[in-house]
Amino acid sequence: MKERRLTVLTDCVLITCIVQKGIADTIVKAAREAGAQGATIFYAKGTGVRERLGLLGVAVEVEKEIINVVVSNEQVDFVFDKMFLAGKLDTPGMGFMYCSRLEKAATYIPPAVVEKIEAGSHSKSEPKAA
Amino acid sequence: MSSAFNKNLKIITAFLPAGKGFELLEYLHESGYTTANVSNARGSFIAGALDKTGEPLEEQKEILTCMVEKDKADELFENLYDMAGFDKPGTGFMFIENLFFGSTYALPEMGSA
Repeated sequence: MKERRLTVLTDCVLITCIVQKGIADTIVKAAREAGAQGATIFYAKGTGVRERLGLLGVAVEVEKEIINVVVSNEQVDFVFDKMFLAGKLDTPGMGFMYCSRLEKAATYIPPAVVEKIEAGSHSKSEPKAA
Repeated sequence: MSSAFNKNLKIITAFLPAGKGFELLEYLHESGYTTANVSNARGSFIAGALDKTGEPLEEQKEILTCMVEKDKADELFENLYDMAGFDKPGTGFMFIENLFFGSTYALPEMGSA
């Protein structure tokens, strides 16, 4: 039977960004340029600036795009800033974003990378020669 | 806060290739997990296929989320990893998050006619 290996990543953060429909691609491009490995986008309905146009203050549903990007702890501040600026989220009504810490994550990791990590951890744990 | 709320919960999220979500949903349903959902998405991965302009190609994806009790989370995480085929390159990504608390969800009993 083939040996089963599941390498989990433990220093990951999920960035979630909720913006108006049509803006996600710009933000994903910025995230990728900042070092993110990938992004997933899905659609939702929410409230936004258009609710001001509703009759009697009734909210008008607005189509949204939700972007999910997983990055390492070291990258999160940089990628978050780049996404924030690319989406112009400092402008009222453009959207909002947040980070949440992941307990663990798993994906395909090339064997060469796993070996490199294992070799690194072994060399650290080996006692130093006197 | 109602005492009916459960404080021992985690949520598993998986970004899957299109078509895989319902297969896993069926497995979860058969295993007794009713708090699972699948939604459609699109996504790109930097090590995946490239389009004509050299940018990562956007593909149809599915997002599976499943709320589970803490003591069952690790086992389910490993089972879903195997079923989704995440040990092969370019298939997807999955993770677990801790939940503060959540409600329970039970399906109604269907009486015989």
